[in-house]
Amino acid sequence: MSYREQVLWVDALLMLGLIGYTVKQLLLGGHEALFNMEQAYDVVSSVLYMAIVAYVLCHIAIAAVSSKDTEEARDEREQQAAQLGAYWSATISQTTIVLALVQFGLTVQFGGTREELSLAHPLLLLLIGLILAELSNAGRQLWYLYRGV
Amino acid sequence: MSTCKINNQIRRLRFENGEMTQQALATEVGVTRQTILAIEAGRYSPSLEVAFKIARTFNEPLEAVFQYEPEPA
Repeated sequence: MSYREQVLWVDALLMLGLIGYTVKQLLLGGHEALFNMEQAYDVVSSVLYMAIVAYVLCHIAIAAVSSKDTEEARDEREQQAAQLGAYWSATISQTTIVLALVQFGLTVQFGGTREELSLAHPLLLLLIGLILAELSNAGRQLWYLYRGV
Repeated sequence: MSTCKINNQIRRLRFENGEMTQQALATEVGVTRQTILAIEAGRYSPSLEVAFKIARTFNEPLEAVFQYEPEPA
């Protein structure tokens, strides 16, 4: 398995873990986690912190193990895979941003309680969208590299 | 719409050329070993540039390495 395939597998597994952690935090937090800005901020910051630390540690570990091909440039097949992954990732990110804006806009338009008007909901939506976008990026690239479609 | 398949003789040509390894061919052509593996298995159709480089490595014309076979729908 090449260095890039190892990185993609680690990214995919990392994102699955982050989705599980986020859902668990939201379930444990209940109503407060969904509507309270401070609670939502805690969830988002802890997920981002975990993601950055795990990402850096995993990449250092992989680079140490497979030091041979870490500096090789992407060949044409890997470039195509990266483009496909980026396309899917961008589509999901854009959709999530639009959904978050529409959700907030509708709440403002049709009136909502003070807590419903907080940015907690859109913030969590953006977080989950970001993780799903990264997961789809890695997943689509792996699918292309192994299946060739 | 009909589908097409590009067959190749890379595996045979590698063995006929001193049992050249996939890594050696990959280095010669300038791609990764995984890409040579994918081309051999028919999971990836290379660019014209890579196809010509592979053919040139074996001193064969392009048609001797890659064959285009349209399949009926």
